Amino acid sequence: MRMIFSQVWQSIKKNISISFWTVLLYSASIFIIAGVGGYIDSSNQLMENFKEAYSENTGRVCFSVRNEMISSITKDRESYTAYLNILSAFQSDHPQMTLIKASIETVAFVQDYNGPYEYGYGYWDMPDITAVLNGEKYYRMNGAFVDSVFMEYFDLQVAEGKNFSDCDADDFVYGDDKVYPVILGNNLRDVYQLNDIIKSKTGGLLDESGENGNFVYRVIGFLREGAALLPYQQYYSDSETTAENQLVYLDNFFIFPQLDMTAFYDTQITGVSQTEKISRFSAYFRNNNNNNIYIFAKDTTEDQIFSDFMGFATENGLQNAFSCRGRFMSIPHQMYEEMDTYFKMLIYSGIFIAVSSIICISTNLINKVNKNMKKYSIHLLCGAKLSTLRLFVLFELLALAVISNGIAFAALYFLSDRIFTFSLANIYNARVSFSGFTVLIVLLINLVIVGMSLIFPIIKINNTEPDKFLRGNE
Amino acid sequence: MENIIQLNDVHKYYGKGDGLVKALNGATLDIKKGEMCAVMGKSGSGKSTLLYVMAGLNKVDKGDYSFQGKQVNLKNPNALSRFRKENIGLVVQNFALIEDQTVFYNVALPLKYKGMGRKRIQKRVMKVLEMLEIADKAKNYPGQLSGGQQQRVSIARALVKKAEVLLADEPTGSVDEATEDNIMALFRKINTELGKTIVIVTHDEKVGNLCDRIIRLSDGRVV
Repeated sequence: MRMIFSQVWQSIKKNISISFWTVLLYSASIFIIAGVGGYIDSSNQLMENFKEAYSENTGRVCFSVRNEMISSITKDRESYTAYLNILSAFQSDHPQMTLIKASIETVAFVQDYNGPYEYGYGYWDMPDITAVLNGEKYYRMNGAFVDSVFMEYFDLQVAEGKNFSDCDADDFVYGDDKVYPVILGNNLRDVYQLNDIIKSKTGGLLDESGENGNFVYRVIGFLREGAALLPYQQYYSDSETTAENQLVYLDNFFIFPQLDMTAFYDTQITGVSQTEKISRFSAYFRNNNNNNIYIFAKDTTEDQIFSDFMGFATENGLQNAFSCRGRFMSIPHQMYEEMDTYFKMLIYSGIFIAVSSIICISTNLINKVNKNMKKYSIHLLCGAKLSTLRLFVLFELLALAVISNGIAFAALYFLSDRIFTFSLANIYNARVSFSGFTVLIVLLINLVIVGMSLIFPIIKINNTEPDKFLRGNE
Repeated sequence: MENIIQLNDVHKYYGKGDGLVKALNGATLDIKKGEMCAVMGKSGSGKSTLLYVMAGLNKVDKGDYSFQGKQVNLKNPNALSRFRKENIGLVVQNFALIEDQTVFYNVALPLKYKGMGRKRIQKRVMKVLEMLEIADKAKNYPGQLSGGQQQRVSIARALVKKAEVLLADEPTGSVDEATEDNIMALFRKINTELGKTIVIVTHDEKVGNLCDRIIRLSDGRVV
């Protein structure tokens, strides 16, 4: 019995170094899986947190969050709440922030709403914003995207000029230099004249469709004074309500045709069926939701306004809120960076350890081969075939690799749940867990890696002549 | 006496390009059956390489090798393996014993590769060990033996398969003078009593003088 224990101990001692590196290799693999898997898991969790926090803070249901949003949402509910509070505070000083919230609502809604669209959804609530720069006054738009039926439904008649349904496609320019029609609220008569050309600016952002966000509009009409809409939420919940305080007055609004511009000319003016117009409604919103941060100005200094706005946002860590069209990139940037760095660190350190481990396992195996070459040479001079010997060496190295993997597997199988889940979960509240199955996958991957690390020792065996190990000192 | 070993214009190179070493550069020699000869030369003259070529452990780049009048296929590893198994017993300076196996196992190894049965192996190994006066060490490990005893084990392993030729690479290089005399006496006994051909590589003139003939090597050629 004592001899058996002795043999077992000798075997463990022989494999201790290679097993150590194999354990490290396993750990590295788990780091990498944690880095990638943890990122995904935590993102999913974050999405749920976001939806909950969003609902609590806005009173509206968020059906789901687009995948693109996930990448930039921070780690926990507190952060969302904090973020939304920041937005609110920021908004009180800078009403532009309302636009951002409107954007969130729109994206969340349009993305998930699969039912039939009501006319009311064409309305988009935005505050009246003005900005003074270099002594000049600029207007930020209040926008509503409507179609002719919508206008008829709410009896939105023009006091001067034409309605969308009356304008002719020939009045507008086609191609890259499109000029689109716009109807203005009554108060905007002070700023614009009929047939004025208005340029829109997205602040240098690109449209999702690849279009440049700069549009040119011609004023085709002005609404009657006191023209109003029902906000869509009220309309949705109670279509009969007409309470005065629920109305949104359009005196400071820009009224845009609801369809994308191509569709507008195809359907609105040439009279394609209403159904088609409505079906294109969502596409318009999704593709153009950043219209809400358009800055309208009479000249090109709008860039300066946007820079000013962006500067303030950046100071407050909100630059991502405006950085990408069609995405909810609205978390404080450094939080995102921090989380991203954490998972990247896991992945990079995992790769580093994995490479080191492979090198060390390879070196260990080569050392093993060197030690055994004398023995192999003795077998050779006693009559062994070289091919048989090579197979024998390969088998021995494989056995070594399997033993090492076995030890590493057993160690990590029992420890992974306790160590890795604990550490990751506590650092970033990430729901990362390592089941036996995960470790089994790691085992298979590592067997392949160890198999690859056998290549160098095998090359060495093939290239070494046995006399090298038999010679004395010449 | 007939030639048992004939080497003709044998070349053996190591390395490539500027690092090319011509260990054997046209070595030609004959060794008679039953002869006990020494191969001598300066360090790096190629004497050990010559021995390992004769043992069939090294391939050559050029040249012919005949054993008992038959051409040895120096290109085919399996043919070389068979050649070694049947014809050559090799003794080296560092004994080349498997440390974690017993003396018996070490000596029996060539017979196992010959496919011999256990009983025959047992019988033959013990006979050789008795002849070399180390039968009582059969169950010992090499590390438990003196240098001289280990060399005897090494010689026993070379003898056990009844090879015609015994090649020895510096067989006295790792032993003291008294043991050296014993080993050389043993080789002479094997040569005379068993009729084995023995080739000993050595740089020791005394060892060389105990042989029938000295073959001198310089820069990979017989001089």
